[in-house]
Amino acid sequence: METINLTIDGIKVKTTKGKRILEAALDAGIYIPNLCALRDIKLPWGACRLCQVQIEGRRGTVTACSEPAAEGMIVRSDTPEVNCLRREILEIMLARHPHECLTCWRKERCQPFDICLRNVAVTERCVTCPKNRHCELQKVADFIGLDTMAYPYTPKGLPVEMENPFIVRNNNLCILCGRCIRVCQEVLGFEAIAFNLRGANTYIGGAFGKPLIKSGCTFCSSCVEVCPTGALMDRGEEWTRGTEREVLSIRCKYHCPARVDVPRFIRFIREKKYNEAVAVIRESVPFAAVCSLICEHPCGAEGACRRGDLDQPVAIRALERFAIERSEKYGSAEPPKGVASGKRIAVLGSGPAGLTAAYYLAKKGGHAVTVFESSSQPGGMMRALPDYVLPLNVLDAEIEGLANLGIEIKTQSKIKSVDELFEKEFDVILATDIFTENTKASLGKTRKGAFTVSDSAAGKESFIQGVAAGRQAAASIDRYLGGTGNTTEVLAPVSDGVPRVGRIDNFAQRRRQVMPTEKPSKQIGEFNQVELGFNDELGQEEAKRCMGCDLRFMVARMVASPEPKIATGLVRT
Amino acid sequence: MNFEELRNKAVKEWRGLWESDKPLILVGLATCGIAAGANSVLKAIENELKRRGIQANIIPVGCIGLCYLEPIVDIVRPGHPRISYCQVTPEKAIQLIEDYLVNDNPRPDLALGNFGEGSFAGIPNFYEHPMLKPQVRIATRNCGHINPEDINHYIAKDGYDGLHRALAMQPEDVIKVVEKSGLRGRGGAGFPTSKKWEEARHSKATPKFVVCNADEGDPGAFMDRSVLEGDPHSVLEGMSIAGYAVGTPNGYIYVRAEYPLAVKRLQIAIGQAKEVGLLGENILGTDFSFNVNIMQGAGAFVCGEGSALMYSIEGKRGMPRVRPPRSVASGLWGLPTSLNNVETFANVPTIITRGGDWYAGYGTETSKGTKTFALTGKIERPGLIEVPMGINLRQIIYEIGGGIPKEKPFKAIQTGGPSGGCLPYTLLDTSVDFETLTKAGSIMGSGGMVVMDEDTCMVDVARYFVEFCRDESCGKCVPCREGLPLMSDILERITRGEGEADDIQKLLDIGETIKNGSLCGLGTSAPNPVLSSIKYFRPEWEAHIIEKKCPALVCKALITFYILPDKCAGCGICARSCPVEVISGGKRLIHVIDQEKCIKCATCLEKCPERFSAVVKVTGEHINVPKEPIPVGTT
Repeated sequence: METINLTIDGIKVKTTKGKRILEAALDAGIYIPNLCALRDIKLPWGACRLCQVQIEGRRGTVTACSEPAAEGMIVRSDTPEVNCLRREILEIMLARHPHECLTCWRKERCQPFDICLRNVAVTERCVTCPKNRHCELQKVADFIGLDTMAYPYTPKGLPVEMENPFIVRNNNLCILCGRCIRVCQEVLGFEAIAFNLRGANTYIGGAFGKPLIKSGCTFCSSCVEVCPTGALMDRGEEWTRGTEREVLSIRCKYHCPARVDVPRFIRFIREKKYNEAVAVIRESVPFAAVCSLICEHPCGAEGACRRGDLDQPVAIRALERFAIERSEKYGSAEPPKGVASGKRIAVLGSGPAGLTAAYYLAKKGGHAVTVFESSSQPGGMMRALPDYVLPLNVLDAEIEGLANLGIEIKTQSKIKSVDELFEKEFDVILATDIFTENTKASLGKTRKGAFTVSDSAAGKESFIQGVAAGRQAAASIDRYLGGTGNTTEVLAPVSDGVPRVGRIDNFAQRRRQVMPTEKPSKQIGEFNQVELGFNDELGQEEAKRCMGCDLRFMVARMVASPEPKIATGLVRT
Repeated sequence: MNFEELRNKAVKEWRGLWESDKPLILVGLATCGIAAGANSVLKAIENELKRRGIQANIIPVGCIGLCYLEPIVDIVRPGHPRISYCQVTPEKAIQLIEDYLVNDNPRPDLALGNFGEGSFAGIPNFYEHPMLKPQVRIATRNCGHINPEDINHYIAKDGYDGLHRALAMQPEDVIKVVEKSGLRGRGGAGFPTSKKWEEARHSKATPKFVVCNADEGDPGAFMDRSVLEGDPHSVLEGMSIAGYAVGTPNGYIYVRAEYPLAVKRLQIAIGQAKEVGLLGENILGTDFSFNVNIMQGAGAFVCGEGSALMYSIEGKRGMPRVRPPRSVASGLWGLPTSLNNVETFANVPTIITRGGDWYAGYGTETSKGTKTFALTGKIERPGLIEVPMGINLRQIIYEIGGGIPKEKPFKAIQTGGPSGGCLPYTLLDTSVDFETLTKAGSIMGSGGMVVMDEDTCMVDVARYFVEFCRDESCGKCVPCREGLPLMSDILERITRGEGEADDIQKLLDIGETIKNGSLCGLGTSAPNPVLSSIKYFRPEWEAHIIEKKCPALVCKALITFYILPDKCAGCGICARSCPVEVISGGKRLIHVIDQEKCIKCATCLEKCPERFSAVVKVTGEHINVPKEPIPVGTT
């Protein structure tokens, strides 16, 4: 990459060849007002015309988003000519955008639900706009310094589209920057929204004027993420800000105690990369194959999968099984890398929690782990399940994989008291069988180096709770032993850019696929729903129902601008 | 068949037509001719010839440029020069056949001119016609002379000679010839054609494209249509030469769907050229192949802008994009594309045949060659003209155009379509070339020229053009999308008589912002009609805003119709013809218009007998008239 040196507003800036002035400036922390720019996109859009700058030795102004940075270029973004043009353009832009929220002198003081003292129509008050104080247009207007308006406000009077459960589109607030369209078309490839009509009547909506629900929109809400105004809003989540947004948006992931990155593995399924899909699951659940069969799937519960708000949740566990069945290997991971810690850990009980903890302690912490199991075979509650639910060969394969990590499993070894283990020079004891009499008794008092965890921490025995708890315990123990407590694994490839998903026709109309079941004659006892797993076609169809709720957080990076350092506000020219 | 054989065959066929013992009749069947009734004339001629049993060759030809004289019929009697007759009706055509073909009377009274040497039988030479004399026809060289649907006619008139010669040269040399000619883009921007080709040639990515812009959307412009309808092969040949110079076999023509005849003739021309091996694979037996696809536009003005046009060909929404990259580096489907206008391509074959120096002999220092213009508006001889660059506006209006009808004073000329400017009388001596017109506040544009007389209101004209651009804006960039409606609102208000004192300043401010801030050529030039009009006709604007007067008596809200009491004879004609029945009166009573209900249609003004001339149209003044009808003579 060739480096280029240029000067922007007197600050020396380094950038790489091919970047435009705007990106070079934003990267260097110099704010140039912009509303339509997106980073990392091949062709600039150049619609808002606000990023005007002057280049020494050139006539007139150019838009910083479109002009490639060149060696030795001297750029100024604060000349009177630039300020004047920018301001005029903003004033023209606001002629059809409610602008009390931009020009009111009180806007810094009012809080939501305060009484507006400025005789502003209810629908145009800043405090009734959910984007108030998070609005890029406000930021731009503050920066440019807009105190009065040259042109009267003419309302557009367009209907607000809210025929779907996720996105509210209020075209009256839209400034037609086109970011939503470019993200939808060029970046993600859904092509669900487009410009309709032309000239002053142009509006953005479902392609060919259809409502979003019929236009192939997947409601990934990336458009909401990049919208610089209040034109696009999450429905019902309008007032939610801050870090919980991810929790509220990627609901499958955050309803899963183990935090399986569901949208990502479903995307791999859609690309028919089944090994990678399984790797994504395995990043959070070491026993992906078992998980795909017996997980209680809280990700599909009410209020979890966002698709459930539209019709029915995506069959996430069924898709896990679909991927597992098509992946090449699902035995456990490679031997641990890095230096052994020299610490010895005893894990009591070989259920989901115990084995998960053992897995992470051995793999990520480099500890020597011994698992004690009282019965004849490891697996705990997993082994108690009937064969048609969890075939034993699947379980055995997963457990065998643990041997690669150097984990020793001692079956038929009843531990009478934890003291006996400390005497055997174990540094830490993790008891997962806290309901057995012996452990209970000996753990009666607080012991240094003794940890407990359970599959049924939530009151009900649960596989996925156990996995999550086991991993958490592993992190705590590792930290106790002086490690970092890091249990994060990257097993599937992570790309830098935003994935191009591609168009999904009739997205909202796709119904949940039903898993084929065993013939009645082969059914076992009263259990008449032995599921056979999706075939190729059904699995792909079901995968297409995923809304990709995590996309918006990847797309969000494309609009990041530094906070303006110096407000040139109110510089009248 | 090699080129010589092709040419010999074509020349033989062409000569056969002209030297046969049958009369030859040429009927102008371009859109202008058809609109004037050429189809019924053609039918009448065919029927009459059949009835009389006369054997004759009839060929349809394109527009020769004298659009106001259409339908034009040319008759060639064996052994006689070709004689052109204008404004031919079916009856006139039948008469001509009887008089000229049967009785050998060439009817000098009906004839427009002859194509022989000097005058013939009292008919002047065709090219001595004042509209044609100052013209130099290069791009339109064959329009009106050949059958556009017959490739042999084109070949016989030196057609495809340029391509034949170019294929014998190195592509670089072809570009050099064009460079020497000084040919600049005829679409309006005036970018040197050779430079564009060279850059496209040197672009590394492949495949490349040669695209012809035939999306002629300016109101009142029809240069490209005339060329496509009258001589489609010249464009195809120009494109093939460009394809050879750039080094690509891919050509596209983007034509508006509103030009069905041009599309049809292009399709025929492409088919014929392919058949004889002048288009398609291995042209004239060389390694060079070139194909042309026709893409039809759906009628958006902005699709005449290069990048929007390319998006439209790709099937996307026609919206211009920012540059760089320019289309020679990244155009159609992101690949190098050389985009030229119809007229540019039509000039190329002749430049190759006759040399760059010959072409550069016409025009000015910086603008070489000729330019076609569609001359319209308040002018005696509207039509399609081709003049050498550097001619001044006065010559175009008064010599070629014949001045303003009814000898009314000239007021302004609008060049370059809706995004050009209005130039006043004082700038009539402006030289017509790229630089001078831009300096004067207008643009060359693709070549529309609208002449206005004193009956044209400059505010109204500005309003019309701004409204046009407002409706045709693609909606992408802010200044154009939001600024033009603001301007058109103010303009509308001014023409309604509700202008405010600071409106002119507001218009100038918004206009400058749109001009400096817009993304594409449509936006940057859209305020031109307003800006130039305010610059040159400020008193008229101030009259509208301050005095609430429309000096040209056009803006309905600012004019009033009165029936003068001392002139009204009480005949009642006005009252009977008033479409809204708001004129009261009776026999021998002075009629009175109810001003509140009057719709200002001017019917009464037209209907009032000339001997009375009692109805007047005034602006900004009040005339005392009786409130109720009173007997004539009582005032």
